[in-house]
Amino acid sequence: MDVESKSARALASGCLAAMLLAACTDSKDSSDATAAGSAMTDSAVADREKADAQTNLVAAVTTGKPGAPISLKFEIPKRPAVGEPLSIDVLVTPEAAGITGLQVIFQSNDGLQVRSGGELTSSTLLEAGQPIMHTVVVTPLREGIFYLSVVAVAEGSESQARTFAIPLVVGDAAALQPRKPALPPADATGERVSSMPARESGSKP
Amino acid sequence: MLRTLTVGIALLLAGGCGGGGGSSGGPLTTPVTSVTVSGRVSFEQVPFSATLDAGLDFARSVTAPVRAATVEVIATNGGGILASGTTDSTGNYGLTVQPNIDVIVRVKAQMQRTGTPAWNFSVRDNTNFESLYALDSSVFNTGTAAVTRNLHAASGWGGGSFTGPRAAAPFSVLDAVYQAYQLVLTASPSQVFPELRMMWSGNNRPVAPTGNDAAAIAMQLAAGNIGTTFYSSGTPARIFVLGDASVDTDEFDQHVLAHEWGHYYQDQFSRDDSLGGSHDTNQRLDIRLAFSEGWGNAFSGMVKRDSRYRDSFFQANVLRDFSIDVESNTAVLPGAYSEASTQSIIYDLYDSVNEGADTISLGFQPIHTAMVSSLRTTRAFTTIYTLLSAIRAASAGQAAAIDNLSSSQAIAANAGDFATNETNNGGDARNLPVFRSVASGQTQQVCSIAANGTYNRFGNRKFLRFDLAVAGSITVRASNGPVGSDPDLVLFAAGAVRGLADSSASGAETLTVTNLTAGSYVIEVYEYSNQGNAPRGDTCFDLQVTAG
Repeated sequence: MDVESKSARALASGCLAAMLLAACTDSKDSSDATAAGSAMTDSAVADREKADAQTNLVAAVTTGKPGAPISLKFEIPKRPAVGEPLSIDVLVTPEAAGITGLQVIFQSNDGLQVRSGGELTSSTLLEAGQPIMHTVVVTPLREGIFYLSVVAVAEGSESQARTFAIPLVVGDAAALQPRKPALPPADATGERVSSMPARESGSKP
Repeated sequence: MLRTLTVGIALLLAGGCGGGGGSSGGPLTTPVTSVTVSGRVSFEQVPFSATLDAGLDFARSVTAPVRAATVEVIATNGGGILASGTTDSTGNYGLTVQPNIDVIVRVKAQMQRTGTPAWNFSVRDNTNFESLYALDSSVFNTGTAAVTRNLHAASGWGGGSFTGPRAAAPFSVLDAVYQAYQLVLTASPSQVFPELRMMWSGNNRPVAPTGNDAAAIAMQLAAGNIGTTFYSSGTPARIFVLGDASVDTDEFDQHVLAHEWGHYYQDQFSRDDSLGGSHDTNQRLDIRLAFSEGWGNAFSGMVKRDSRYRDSFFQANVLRDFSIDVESNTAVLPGAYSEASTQSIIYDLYDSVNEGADTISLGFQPIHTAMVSSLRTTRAFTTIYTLLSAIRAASAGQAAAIDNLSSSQAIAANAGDFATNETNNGGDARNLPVFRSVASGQTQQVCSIAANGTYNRFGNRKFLRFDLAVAGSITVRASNGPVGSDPDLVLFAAGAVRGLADSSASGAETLTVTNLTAGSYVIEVYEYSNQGNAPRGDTCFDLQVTAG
């Protein structure tokens, strides 16, 4: 029944919830069981809405903060290894017309050193939807899961920025998966608490 | 109750001690049965540089009160919570507990109130089991006299980077929420706010959460891959907040937080028909998205009483920001599809500064009234048209001023919820009417257009209004599309999906929805590929609607 085949609208909404780096997964295949001539009653809709509510996270309305109309896709052509320069192919796409200048900075971070291609700049009028290909070379400094930070600043009628991070797994991915944090202690009300230290002043008995 | 019980125990203990102490034969002293623990709770609030684009200015940090937060005195001997209360508007608290016991003072990053009004706002770590952040004092003994314990949450900034615990972050986030709900209380003093969880972590980075289902995305979010700061509806509602100190952290970006809280407000008290997705002020957006995002920007200006929205980031370890002035009346592509036009109009309706076409200063009350009434119930969509229509109807003598604002942003004046007299076609005559009226049995050609981009851009999705005279069913048939095209259909009643048909059939689609009450419905039709990466571009279909 098509009630259960998530509509393209709903899936795309969830997929795009956070300005995805990569394109949203095409949901059409998974909903091919939907037949033309489908029907849905009000009660069926209510049932589906109830089911959606129970999924709890990333429901229908997901909206992100404003930012530069820039999307970024990337490809990591080989397994990252310690000390070996790694070329990352990046596709930077203006998503709107009127961008007259673009600066994209790829930033060295913990565990990663940018060797070349750390900056992509353009000072010409960019065409919406026309991607710019770029290659950034990084060297992993040790094993671990690291993130190559990216800041894109687009100039137009006004300057706006968007940030990204490209995850890199250096070494054995399975072994490097971050350990689950220990369950935080619960207080007397049953609430799990992440405690942070205060700076204190005042009288002491 | 808790406090009464613990004080009772204290009396018993004190009584026992007093009996033993009387043997010296000295003057009898009144045993101390309780002591007051009081103090002030504060956090390091980091402002923006006075210079635009220079980012946060940690050197100008100020000490700000933690307001309306839950404070507890907790016995460290396993005795649990001895007393609890909340900080006042200056961050002060005072609690009475038993003497001579080892305790800590805990300040939860939570504002909670029951009754009327009511709220439950908290700041939690999405990467650590959604645990609640708390600021804890060291252990001390309550002794026999009043104790002062001032607690301060520091930012952890070490001069060039964060080097210590980022204790201020949750309380800065909490303070943005405080300011937002205070604004709403000015218009609705008895408001009951549904629970909202602000999800902040230093691990929240701009890595997009990918996945084909909610469970997969939830795992990504729990790992800190949140993509950006965003609002997510649900029960409870959540706002995920970036905390990545290497590139983008939003805990001190008060406008960003207020913007997302504005989405919470619209979703919970009004209605948000936005389909989400990427957006910015220079694009022709789906009119529902343009309204939602323009609302968020304008709302942040109202909350902060500052029209300049600023969002900080780190670029090559340099503190920077970009900003949007919602007071600006200059939109690159003005119209109802413009986030810039929308925010300008809403902020001009609100603010007391008149400039340009702005000769109106309504404050928040009438905007709130329109948001929670007309926008919630409109049979059209939640757009700037609906807001203007509602405020215009409710503001006697202000029609001309409101019409001036509309016209100055290339939006038809007095257009009504269904934008009946709109002439701004966004560059393509086929985009009008915005809501095309269709009668039963009538066939009309509609075109899904990708000239402004895909998925959530103006023209991707076309809207038809259909008035069902008597209760029954509606059948919508799309046909005669080009070979390989793929029309999809959605039927809305007051913004709620009542039916959808999204098969892969070439050039055709049929949707039948039964058990409908009489009234106006909106049919959305779009070419499926025009919401993805390989759009067909302009694709037209014949659309027929039949009542049954």
